[in-house]
Amino acid sequence: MKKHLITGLTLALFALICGGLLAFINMFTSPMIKAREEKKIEESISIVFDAYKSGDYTKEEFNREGVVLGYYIINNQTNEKEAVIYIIESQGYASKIRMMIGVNKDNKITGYTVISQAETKGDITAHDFNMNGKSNLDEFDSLAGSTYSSKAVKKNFSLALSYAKVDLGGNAND
Amino acid sequence: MTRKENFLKGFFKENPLFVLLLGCCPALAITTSVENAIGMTIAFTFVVTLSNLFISLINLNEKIREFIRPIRIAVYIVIIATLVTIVEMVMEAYLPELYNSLGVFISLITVNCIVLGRAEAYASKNKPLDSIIDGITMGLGYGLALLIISFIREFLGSGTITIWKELKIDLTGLYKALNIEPISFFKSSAGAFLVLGIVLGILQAIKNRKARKTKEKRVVKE
Amino acid sequence: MTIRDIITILISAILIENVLLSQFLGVCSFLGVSKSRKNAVGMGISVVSVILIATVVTWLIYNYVLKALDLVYLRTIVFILVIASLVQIIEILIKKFVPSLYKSLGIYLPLITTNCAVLGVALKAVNNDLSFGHMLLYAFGSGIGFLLVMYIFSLIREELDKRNVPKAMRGVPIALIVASILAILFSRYVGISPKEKEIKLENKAHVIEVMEEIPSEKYFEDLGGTIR
Repeated sequence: MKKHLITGLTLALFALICGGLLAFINMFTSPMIKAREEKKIEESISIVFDAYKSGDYTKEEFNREGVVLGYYIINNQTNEKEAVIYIIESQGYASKIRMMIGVNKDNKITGYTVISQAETKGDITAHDFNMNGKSNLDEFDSLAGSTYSSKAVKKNFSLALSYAKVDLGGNAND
Repeated sequence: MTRKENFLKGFFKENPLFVLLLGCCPALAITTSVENAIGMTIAFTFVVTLSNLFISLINLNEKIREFIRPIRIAVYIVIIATLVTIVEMVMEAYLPELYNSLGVFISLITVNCIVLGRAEAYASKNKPLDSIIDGITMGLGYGLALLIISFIREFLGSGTITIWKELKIDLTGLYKALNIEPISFFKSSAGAFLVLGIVLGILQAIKNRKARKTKEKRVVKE
Repeated sequence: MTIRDIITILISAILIENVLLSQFLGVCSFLGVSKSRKNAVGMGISVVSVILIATVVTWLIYNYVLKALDLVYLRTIVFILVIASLVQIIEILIKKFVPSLYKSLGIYLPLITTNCAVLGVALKAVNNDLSFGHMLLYAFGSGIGFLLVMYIFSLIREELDKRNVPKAMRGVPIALIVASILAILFSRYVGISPKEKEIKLENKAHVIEVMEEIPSEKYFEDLGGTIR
């Protein structure tokens, strides 16, 4: 009995040492990964809301039910919320589709882009092999991109528009 | 076995994929481009070499070896998993595109039969230097096999050979000259099985032929 | 989660993105064990059970322990240790309560620890950020898919062994060719035609100036996607 306990403790100690080594390495790699994710978000937002590039706007992150993440786009001069950007996800036929969709004060879509699951801030998740090189025969006829369900794409858009009505309020087209 | 024989065995005589038939999962999954094969080889060789080294070191001391005997598999697994996690972290930070292409198969090196197999079969019974050589040869031998498969699949599937990121050899001209298109079937999962099956079949045919020839020689001698 | 979602996830996990034929997880055991029907089914059922239990346990640990302590990078180590312990526990339990099963499974049981399918499914469940219900269905579906393919494959191989296979192809090579054919069948949605039209989007960004309403299908067509 005592012998088992000692061997068990040794194993635990050993695992702890390995864990410590990994924590040490993580101190170096983690900031690099986070910085890259932040850059990707900035790029995507510039695509979805073109004027963001000019630097006249700031983004403010917020959470709300039904979306993965939301950003308010605030005009630096007037301090008003000009637009709202959602990272929103819907289930399609064989996969989920995650998109970043921008909606402005007039409840019109300013832009959108498809993003993979790996590009969400906060979660250092590995990009699943399946997202990139799916082994369905059909996709390889295309030059790039994956197959998405049109219903899921439409759902993303309609959700974004209806959420924006609530979150931005006011000038929405009724 | 001499040092030289030990170093060369992983490439042909004891090739982990083609001869020992281990590590098929990544061989089918990631061999869609030569770049993937190269990346996987580097990661894999790193893990198997260092794992062999550490496991050999642990088993050097008689007392330690006896002590960890009941939990040795668990210890080996922790060592291998730690090494794989290091590879994951470094790759995610410095080589993100490769990390995305290889995906979950980097983590799956942990349960790759080759790594644990060499640990149990060789490293636990041999000296550190020999174990390092064994790790290197198994890793590179596996890489050679992966390279062959991905070369075939990428060439037939998309007509290019991607060596590293933008460094590509574009052979689509060859296709155009023959007036055909690259056959994307080879990039699919079914294509993977087919290529591996045919390659193994060819190798088996060569092996059978050799065996027959040595048999004939023996009969003639008698 | 609607019934429709449940069916979609299950069909996807069992058939379309089959764990063996499409995701290549568990292939080593697949090639080694599937020679006899009985072994294949026994192996398949044990793998299904381990996948299910392991995925649930690792999912819980990942989402409630690792994330909370910001130790996400330890997932590989933690997962494999959990799986190894689980297999040990299951082995002890089976030995005690169903010794006949223990005898027939023999060495296959401890080997499940190194089966890529178990670790693979567990990792995919957390990497893709699945909800609890989705994860359950995914794990269950993957297991069933594994069992299904193992069984079909063992049937085919039993027949193959009786026929005259060219000497060079005997054993693993012909098995891989058969797997290739099975993979083609499975990837074609096996007789289920999607009610929704699948469209292909370029994985780049599309900037739209101002959009009055939700884009129609024609819009996507004009973007250069094709409707299948």
